[in-house]
Amino acid sequence: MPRESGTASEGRCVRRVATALLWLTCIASAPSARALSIYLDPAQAVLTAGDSTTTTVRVMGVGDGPSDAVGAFDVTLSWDPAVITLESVTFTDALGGASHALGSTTEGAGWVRLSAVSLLSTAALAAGQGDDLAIAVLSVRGLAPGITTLAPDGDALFGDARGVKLPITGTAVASIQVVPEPASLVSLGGGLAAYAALRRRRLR
Amino acid sequence: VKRLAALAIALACAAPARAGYLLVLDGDPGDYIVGDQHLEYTDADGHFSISGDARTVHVVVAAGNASWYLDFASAGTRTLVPGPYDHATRFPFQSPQGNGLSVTGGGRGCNESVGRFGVLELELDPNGVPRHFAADFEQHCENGEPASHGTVYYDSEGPPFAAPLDSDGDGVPDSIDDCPDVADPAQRDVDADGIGDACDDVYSITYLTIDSPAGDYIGQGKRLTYVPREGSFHASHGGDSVYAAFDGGSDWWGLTISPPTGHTFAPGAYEGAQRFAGPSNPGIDFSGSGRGCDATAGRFDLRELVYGAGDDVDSLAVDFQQSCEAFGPPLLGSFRIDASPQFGVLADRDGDGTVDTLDNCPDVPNPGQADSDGDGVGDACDSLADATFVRFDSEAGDYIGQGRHELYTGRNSSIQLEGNYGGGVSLSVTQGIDDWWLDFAPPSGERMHVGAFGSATRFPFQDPSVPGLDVSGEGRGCNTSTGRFDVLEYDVDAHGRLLRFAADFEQHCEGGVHALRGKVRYAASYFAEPGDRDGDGVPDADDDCPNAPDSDQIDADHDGRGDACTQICDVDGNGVVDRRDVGAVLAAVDTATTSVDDVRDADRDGTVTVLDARACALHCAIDGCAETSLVAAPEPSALALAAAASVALAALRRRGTR
Repeated sequence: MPRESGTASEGRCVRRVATALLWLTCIASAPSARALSIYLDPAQAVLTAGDSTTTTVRVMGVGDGPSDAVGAFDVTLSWDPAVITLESVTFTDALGGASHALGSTTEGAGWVRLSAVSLLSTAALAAGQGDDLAIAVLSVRGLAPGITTLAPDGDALFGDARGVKLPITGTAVASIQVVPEPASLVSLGGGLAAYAALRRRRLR
Repeated sequence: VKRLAALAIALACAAPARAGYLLVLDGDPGDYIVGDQHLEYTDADGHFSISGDARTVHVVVAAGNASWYLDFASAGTRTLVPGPYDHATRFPFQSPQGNGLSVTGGGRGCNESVGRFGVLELELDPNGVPRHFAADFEQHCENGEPASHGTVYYDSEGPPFAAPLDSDGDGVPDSIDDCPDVADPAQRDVDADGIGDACDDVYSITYLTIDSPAGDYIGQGKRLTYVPREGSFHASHGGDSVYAAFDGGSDWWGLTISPPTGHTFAPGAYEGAQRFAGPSNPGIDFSGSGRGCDATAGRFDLRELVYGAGDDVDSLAVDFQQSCEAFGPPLLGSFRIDASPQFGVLADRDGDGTVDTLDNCPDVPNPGQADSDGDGVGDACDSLADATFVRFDSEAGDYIGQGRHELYTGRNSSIQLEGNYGGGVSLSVTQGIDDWWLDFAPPSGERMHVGAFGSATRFPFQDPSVPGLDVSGEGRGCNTSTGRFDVLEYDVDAHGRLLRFAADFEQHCEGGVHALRGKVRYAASYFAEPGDRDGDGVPDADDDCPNAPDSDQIDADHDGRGDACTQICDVDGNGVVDRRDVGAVLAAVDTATTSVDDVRDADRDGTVTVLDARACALHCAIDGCAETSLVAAPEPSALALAAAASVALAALRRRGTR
């Protein structure tokens, strides 16, 4: 169960502001043609080492017209493997679910590649998708204190319902900070206090 | 040496060893008699006995606690001879003009059954009792789908068996020949009494047809036709009421009609009929198979009525209409019992002597009604399906075909052929949500013929001096078009009805450079070879692409797989794009293409990407990309979505870093 803390609340606020700024930048620079933006939406921006959280991979700008849809994607996400590690990937039903889509994952240290294709007809696909689409959910676990970004690489490829490449005009990365476990903080604090007391005694 | 040679010759000429005694039983899942199992008995396992005569054979096999009883009977007074016997109903309750079959055992028997059997060998002893017998059989208990199949030998020589007997040499085995001693390959039997016209002295019409609409209680919404081989017909009268009946064992039907009371029956139309005749209304009551009406409303046309001796009716022809309980949807029926031919012969579109409602291939003449695979569809119609297909090869940029390559066959699609008003040929193709229309027409004043038709423009707006061509579908059509077509086969019957058509075509929409090319084959005679799934004239065993028509067998890269099998997205080369193929493309993302024709590179950009996988998903033969039953390559490595992606991830995690 994720623990709420003052640090976490601050981190979430920072994340929201950063995400909003990125979106403003993306929207301002977006061409008028149909184009996608990818953003990663972590459930927690601050994570205690040893705890897990999820990050949803979303795309915006799909459009909600009768033929607007994502029919396939191939995207690689990367992070600092010293800070977090990937536990699992779950594809959403956006492309048709297990019965009407195919997907695959490939992973290395600090990266994962997600590929999927819908088997639905163009019309059925468009009917099931809106302008804002969650395509996958990553579960990550904090390893050691530090800050890392979780970001798509520049080779992300998205196709529309007909298999035509969709231009990607912006990305919003997720920033995740891993903090030490509380027990470690208590030990560290106690050690520092003992050291200070010892210093004062020696000075007297 | 001479003695040894004589001995060798004697041994060689000695009677061949007989295969002996054998009973093999195979039951389909759900079969009541044998069950889902395979049983096999020889005379080492049990005791075989036989009895019967020239028309019936009974075999009993007693093995341990199990005893099996098999009965085979030919129709009427005909003798059993080697050959096929169809439409066999439960012995000994078969109709006088039908074949009988019964397979029972283990304490189990059918109340009703249908089936068929083939006599492979039959020889009688001097007393007329069978002594050598072999047959195979198939029986469906209670008329259900599951069957008991089997083979029985009684002191039989075993295979190879002699060819079925064909006394008159007309190509129709005696066992199913409606006139076995007079050559009548057409097997015409206009009065449908089971006796071919070639040897039918009594030319009269006997049948019952029932056309029951949905909601009708009596006919239960069925369309039924009964002819003499399926049961007995009888007509009688009592006073002025006439009673006509058909008794087919489990199915029986009866019609009572009367003129208004006080009137005498005479041919004519009788309106306002009710169940019981009154002074001002005639009577009608049609019932059967355990169902009857308390009240009726209807009418009938009495077309022929000839009274015989006593209560007999010698000839009856009546068409009737009845609403059960006076308000139900009307059932239509026709009774003919020894009626004169002018009062209606059942329709027989292909003129092969078997009326349409009983014909297993009503539009293609097939006098013997052969049905080798027992699917209820005659071999002639199976061949039609095999020799019928429409293929599209659309170039990228072609508006109509959208760059797709499609194959619609008579097996997986509805392909209809008819004449169009341009004096040519029109085809419609329907497969799921796919609809296509193709029109071919000669220049005005010309007849369609085998040959080349160049400079075609869009049908039906072509200039009178040029041919017309139009291929459209899925909501797309050209405003204008140019093209050509080559008619390879065009065959019509004496009535001008289209029988066969084969053509290749090329169409350019709006004068563009991108072509839609294709092939059309409808009942193409030279594509009707057995064992040729794609109907391209090359037997499957020799075909370098057995599921896609490629009569030219071109294999440019000499890999053993014909170029036709390099259909875009058809990675496993089985002629159909399905889920497996899309998975294979997805698994090959980032794989270098093997050639410019790599089927995985759907968009031909030189790289296999997820965009190709998506394009291939849209090429699937079935909406939703369901897998087809055709044999194909192994499963792709791509994973089904949500199918434990994390498990796969864990396995992949052990791989190195990029």
